[in-house]
Amino acid sequence: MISIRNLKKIYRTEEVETTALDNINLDIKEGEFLAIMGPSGCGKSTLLNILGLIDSPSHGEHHFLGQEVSKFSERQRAGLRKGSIGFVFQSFNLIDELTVYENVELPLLYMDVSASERKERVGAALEQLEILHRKSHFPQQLSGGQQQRVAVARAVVSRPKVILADEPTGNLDSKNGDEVMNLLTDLNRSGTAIIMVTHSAAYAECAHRIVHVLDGHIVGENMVKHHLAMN
Amino acid sequence: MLKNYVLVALRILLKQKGYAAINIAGLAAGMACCCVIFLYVADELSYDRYHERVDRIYRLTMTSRLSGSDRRFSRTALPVAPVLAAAFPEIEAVVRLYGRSAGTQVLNGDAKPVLGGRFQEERFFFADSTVFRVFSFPLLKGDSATALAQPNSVVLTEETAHKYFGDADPMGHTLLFEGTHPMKVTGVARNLPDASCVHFDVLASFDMLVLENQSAANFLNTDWLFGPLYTFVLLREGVDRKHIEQQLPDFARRHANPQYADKIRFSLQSMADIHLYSEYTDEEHPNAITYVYIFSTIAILTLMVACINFINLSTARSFVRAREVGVRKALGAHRSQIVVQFLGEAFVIALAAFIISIALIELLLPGINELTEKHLSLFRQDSAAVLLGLAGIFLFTAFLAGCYPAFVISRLRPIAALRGGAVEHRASGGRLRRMLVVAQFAISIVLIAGAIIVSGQMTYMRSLPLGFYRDHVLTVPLFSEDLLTILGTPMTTELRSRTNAFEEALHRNPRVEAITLSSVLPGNGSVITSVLPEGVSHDIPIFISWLSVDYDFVQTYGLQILSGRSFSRQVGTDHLQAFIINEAAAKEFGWTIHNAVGKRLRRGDAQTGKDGVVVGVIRDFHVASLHERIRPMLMDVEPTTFAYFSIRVHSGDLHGTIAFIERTWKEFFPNRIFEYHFLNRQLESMYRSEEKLSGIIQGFALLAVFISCMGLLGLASFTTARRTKEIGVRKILGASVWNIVLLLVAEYTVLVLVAIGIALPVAWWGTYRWLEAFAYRIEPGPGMFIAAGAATLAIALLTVSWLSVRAALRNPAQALRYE
Repeated sequence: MISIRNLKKIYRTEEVETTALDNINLDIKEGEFLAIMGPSGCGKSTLLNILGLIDSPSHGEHHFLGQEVSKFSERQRAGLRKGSIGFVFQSFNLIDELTVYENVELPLLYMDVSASERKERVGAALEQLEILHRKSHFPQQLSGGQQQRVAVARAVVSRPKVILADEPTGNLDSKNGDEVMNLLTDLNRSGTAIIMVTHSAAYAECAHRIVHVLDGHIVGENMVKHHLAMN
Repeated sequence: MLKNYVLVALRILLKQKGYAAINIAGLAAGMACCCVIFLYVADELSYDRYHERVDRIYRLTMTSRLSGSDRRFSRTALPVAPVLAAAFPEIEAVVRLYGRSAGTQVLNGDAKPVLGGRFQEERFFFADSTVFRVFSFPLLKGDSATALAQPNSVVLTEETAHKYFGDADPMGHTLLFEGTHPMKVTGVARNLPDASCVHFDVLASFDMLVLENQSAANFLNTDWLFGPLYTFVLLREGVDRKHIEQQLPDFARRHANPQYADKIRFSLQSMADIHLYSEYTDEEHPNAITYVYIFSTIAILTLMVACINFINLSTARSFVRAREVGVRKALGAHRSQIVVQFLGEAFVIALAAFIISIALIELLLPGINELTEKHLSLFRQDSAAVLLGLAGIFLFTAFLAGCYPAFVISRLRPIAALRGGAVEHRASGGRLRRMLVVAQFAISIVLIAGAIIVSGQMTYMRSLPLGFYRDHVLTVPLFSEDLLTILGTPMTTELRSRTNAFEEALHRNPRVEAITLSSVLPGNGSVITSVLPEGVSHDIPIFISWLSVDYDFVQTYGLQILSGRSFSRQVGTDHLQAFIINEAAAKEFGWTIHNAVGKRLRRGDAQTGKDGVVVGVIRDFHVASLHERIRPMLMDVEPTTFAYFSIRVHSGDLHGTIAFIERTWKEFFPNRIFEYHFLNRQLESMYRSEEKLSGIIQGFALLAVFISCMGLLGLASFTTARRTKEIGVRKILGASVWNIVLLLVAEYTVLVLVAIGIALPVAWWGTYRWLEAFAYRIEPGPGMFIAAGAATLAIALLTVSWLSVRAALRNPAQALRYE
């Protein structure tokens, strides 16, 4: 589904050139659950952003669903993003001025989904994540765990092929963190690929495969045991 | 999607009430001002356009070159019109108009005056019967072809007819003109629009004018130089004005009086240009176009200041919205969708501001109408164009104010936007924002400097010694309010003895300090006369100002005799052969102040003029307005032309003194209406357009500063919020509150200083150009401009330092926790 070859990302300011990612090669299959680990500043979020088509690489190839996307314009990437990729952020990134329902509805609006279908899909997503009773609340009126549920609902409502999660549990206590991980695992079981950046070794164990990033390079890769066992 | 945008826009406005209030209030104020000025300009530009044939109507104007320099007159002499009509077949019709103030009386069926039926009409006009062919003055009653064709006929406006006769039909009724001549009402005209340079309440047939001036009729009917009235011509369709104008020099040479036939030139001025583009010696409100330009500039500047606010506040806030933009983009929004969303928000805010501004305009209009002496209104029958214009202002503002923020915010890359957005944004947006603040303050400073200098000039003119007493001088017109006394009823011997008796009666009251009569009032301009001084060649007549004054004029007005003496009753022959001239006249004639006394002089021509001797030279005083330099001037005692009493009274118990004067007036002149003015107020009214400008520019300067400061407040609050962490770190590292305040204030001080640097040359140039219109003017020193800059700087710093102190006092731990 996703294939990256010799990918390089360089940030330039007037005086400094920083190589955030160097010589990255990575393949992600449909339905896979991949965890990316590494210390702060190693480039894992940059990698995630490139995989999510919200940033573009400086060099290298990037195939997404069979298309070479590394030279895509922002407009093309936006077109590909909607409907194919869902996002879950560490800081939830819900729009404060919109209610739970409206936040979840937003991706469908950009996809020009009809009103009746929107209603149905938003309702289903909220129910799936057990926050339907909070649909008229604003984000600030919810707990962190509830906010992240809304974020996950927003990510799944467009029925994406892949969900990108950038430290989805980073701002949550362990109980809420566990819940969110359970949600992601469930989603993965129902067929959605998940790429997750995390600091937590325990949560990384939920994935099929873990990729270790250090100083912009992939320094290691291992399959998770339970997954191996299941296989 | 639209619903989503509107919801977000409204919720954001509600959540950030302060921001919304600043934004909307600033925009509303800017729009209101722009709209008001738009109404004013639209009104100015609509003058006289209501005449159906306006593009074929021209006013005959005259330029005379009698004493070296050209003098341009909008009025022309009586005999020109009929000759003109006969000489040019291309002219369809000619009409003469003469307006003055006149007393009227309503008579009943028995030709007896109706009780309470006496009026003083300020706009009493005499016109040829062709008036209705040239102009579009529709008659509600009567036939426009014949209404003024008969002698002694009169047309009233609807309003005047109602004033005189109530709901009764005025047709066929008789009015008495100046208590002597009966006139028959032959028509009722629809009320005239305000935007009209010809404005009558009563329109009498032209023969009345000659009728009441029998003694001067011969002079008036033959002299081509003395221009008391307006001559309008209607050209036939397809006739080019230039074609007629080319033949006018020859026309003047053939028909005008030979002694000055080659010294006068005629030209045609388009009716549509009269209000806006008139610059004539005898025009009361010259060159309205100057003020149209000045006010339009002010309107655009004010609107720009308000728009800049909007742009600045919106882009400054964009870092708050950046995350939202990032999320939207991550979810698949295109840039165009973001642009539409933010433009839409701008429109919502602009719409709110526009609605408030309409309410504001309605609130402000009465005051503005008083200031501008107009009847501006948002909602009139003919206001479709005006409303369309207002809608244009709204759309323009919304677009101007919304465009920049929309495009800046939508440009954010989603990755940067999600990170907080400020990083890549600060570099470009920040610089532009600073430039806009500079522009905003530069505009404010220009307006403040303008306000200071205009009001400085007004104060200067009010305090400038005019060379005569002007305080506590009451002026009472003897016949009617008219500068051109030559057309008033001449002073008879009987009347002269009555005025003398009136003066004596007044002198018995100790509060009356002095009283005199004169043909015109000092400061109000004068009639021009030809003179022939001793020792000057006979070939070229010299034309100078002429005042006919009574014996005690010099004493009443406190004029200073430099050599010789004042007029004196004791001498016995002063009314026959004595002249007093001013310094400028002595200089013009090549005399000194001392050797002038005793020189011979002739005023007027050999037949009707006056020969005499100069008995005194007075110090120059301002006979005309301060727009003009002092000209050579001549005074003599010529009672037949007296038109005004000037009564200098003691400052105490003015009411009692005026009541006493009125009682005495009624005793001596029972048939004449008593009206009086204070001379100093009359003089001030000559500078009304400048007063108007002064008031308006002060208002706008205050407003611009107010809007700018609101913007600054909003901007500074966002900047300090963004620098919260920096402030916290600095405080932890040992910075004092004072250090922090300085740090925050310094940024804005630099901006205002740059604005001062840009604004002052512009302000200097603009005010210099404006002051050029005054012969006597202040020399604005650097102090005035520095004051404008300093005032702006002080207000700006006050605004910013309040926020800065608050930010600096905050607990640093709290500041850092926000990160």
